Amino acid sequence: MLDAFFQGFTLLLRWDTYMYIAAGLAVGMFVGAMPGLTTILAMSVLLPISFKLEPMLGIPFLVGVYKGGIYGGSISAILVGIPGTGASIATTFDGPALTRKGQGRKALEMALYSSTIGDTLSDIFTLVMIGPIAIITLMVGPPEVFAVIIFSLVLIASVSSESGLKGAIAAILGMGLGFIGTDAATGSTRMTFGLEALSAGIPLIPLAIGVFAIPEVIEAVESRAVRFISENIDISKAGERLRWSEFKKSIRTILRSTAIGTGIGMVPGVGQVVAAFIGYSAAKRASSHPETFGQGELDGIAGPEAANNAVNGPTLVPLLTLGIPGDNVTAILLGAFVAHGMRPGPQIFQEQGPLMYALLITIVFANFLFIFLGYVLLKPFARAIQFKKAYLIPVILALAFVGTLSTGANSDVIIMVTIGICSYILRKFKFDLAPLIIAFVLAEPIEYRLSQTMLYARGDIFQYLFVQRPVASVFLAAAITWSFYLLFGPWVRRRLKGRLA
Amino acid sequence: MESEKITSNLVTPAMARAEVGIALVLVTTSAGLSIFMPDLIASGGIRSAQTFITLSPVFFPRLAFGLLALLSIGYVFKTSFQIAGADDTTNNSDRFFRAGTMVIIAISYAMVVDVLGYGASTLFMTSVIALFLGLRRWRSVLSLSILVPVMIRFIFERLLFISLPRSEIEWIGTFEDMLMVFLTGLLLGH
Repeated sequence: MLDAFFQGFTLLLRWDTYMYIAAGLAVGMFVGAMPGLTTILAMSVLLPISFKLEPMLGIPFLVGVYKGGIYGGSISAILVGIPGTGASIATTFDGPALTRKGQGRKALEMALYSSTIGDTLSDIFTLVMIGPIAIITLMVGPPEVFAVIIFSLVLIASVSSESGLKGAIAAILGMGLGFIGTDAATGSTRMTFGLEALSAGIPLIPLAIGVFAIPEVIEAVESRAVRFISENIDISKAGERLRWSEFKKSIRTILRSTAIGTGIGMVPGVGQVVAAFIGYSAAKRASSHPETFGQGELDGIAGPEAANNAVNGPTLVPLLTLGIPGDNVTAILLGAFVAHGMRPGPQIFQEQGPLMYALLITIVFANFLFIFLGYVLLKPFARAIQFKKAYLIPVILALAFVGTLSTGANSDVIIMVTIGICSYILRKFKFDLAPLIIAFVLAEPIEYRLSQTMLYARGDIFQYLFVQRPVASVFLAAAITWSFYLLFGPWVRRRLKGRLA
Repeated sequence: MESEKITSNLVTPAMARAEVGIALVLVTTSAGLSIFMPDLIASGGIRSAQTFITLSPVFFPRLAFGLLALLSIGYVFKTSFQIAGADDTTNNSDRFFRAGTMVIIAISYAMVVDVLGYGASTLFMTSVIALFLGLRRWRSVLSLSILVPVMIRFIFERLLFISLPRSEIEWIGTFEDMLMVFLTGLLLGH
């Protein structure tokens, strides 16, 4: 493992990798700063570009979009109180208040520094921990992987939507879409309805673009507003720069939030939004003057921003070691890995160790570019968020079509638009579609692992899973219990309350 | 923007009824797929792999869609109770009209991209959306409509080698090819 780590360093001496990371960061920051657009939209639309590049260029490019997007969301959150991404909602508690006090520039710089520190430290943690975790995962067999995937899916479905029921429906719907095409175990084709275009299954690109880009385009035109935000932004009036003495006071908050974000990042499905809120409330609780929070407190920026960016690195741990994407962003990254001929899972560090380490070290180094670009691009992006929708929407739709057409099958645009319209309808009814895309990419591994487990079980699957494989049984029992609690818990509580009353 | 989203997510009686409809569609589709799953498996595959200790191709999809049908029944009940409580009077007709228009534009774009090719269809799509979203200066509409397809086509075809559909109408295809050759010579020198 250590050999692979050092070999990874030799792959780093490429200037083009950093050029693509810089491009990814810039695109991510721009999209993240636009209140109507999301990072996942940019990632899904730009996914085909990464396919055309080498793994050492394509994957860092997508990671750059991801990192930049999370930070970009804080620009509009601070300046006008409209979060560019969900991860920046907690930043709106103190950001606009600081801007009103003439300290917008300080808040933006605090967001940049805390985001970069949170990201860098969590990436280093990931780099150090992923090797030993990969060794442990090598010891687990198909039943354990199957059980962990099921447990993760239940967890993701339960925390992503407003109700566990909608999360579960989205997840199973995604799994159903994943079953279309050729069955991995037996080679039979299923649910193609006689359509040649579906015989190889629904490709990830049209699905990802349909699920994430098309609904956002439709939602963006719903209102008659000409721009995403109507407020006038003048960064030259955003006040003074952040002083070292002010930054020093927030270092403890940044480190605390980094630890929170790192922990949350390793749990599938929880994500940046939760991390940012916990980071904010932890900063408030630890503060000697909690009453100033919400009225323009720099710690109120440092807390959520360090926490939401610290999630980025550790989400790669379950993805790379078990092949389980913890959120929609890592589901897209999984697609990129697979397209480059790498199947994340227990074996990946044995088969592609140097490349994996090179990618992880690149992600750490990307943070230096992040801080530089974040500083340089702050002004132009603060101005760019006032772009007219009429200029941006056609470009996004045109790029969505290019992305889909890049698969080589023109029929995929019909699949993409159909999925997009269905996704828009589901989003209108408050379905979070992250479980759908995660379950889609996990459908094949679930079925394949269960097939392997059934072979090992030789007919008695329940006895094998629940008696002979204790680790698998713990995860499966937890998944079943959690599912029942989510589905019937509210009903049982209502009944008990009624009886007590 | 955020406040707009919140307004559109409030439950009006029409939305509550539509949600019940969606839930019913989910129930019938998933139950139908679960019941008729054996008929949806095409013949073929490795017969020897389909023994009693291995997974049949029917098993997992049937289980998943059966589970989805059960969950959707729960969703029908949950949404049915919401109809009585839906008292938001916000008029969302304009929002739905605009969303519907965008859906029609996207479908039309998907339909014509094969016939007109990527360049011409994107030119039409861009100008229609620009006008729909309130861009009225003809110079802006024209320059945007020309720049978007030309730049995207150049970047993706000539720099990233992603081929895009060529127009079935010969003169459009020839014109686009000539334009790309000219731009390649001008910007890349070959």
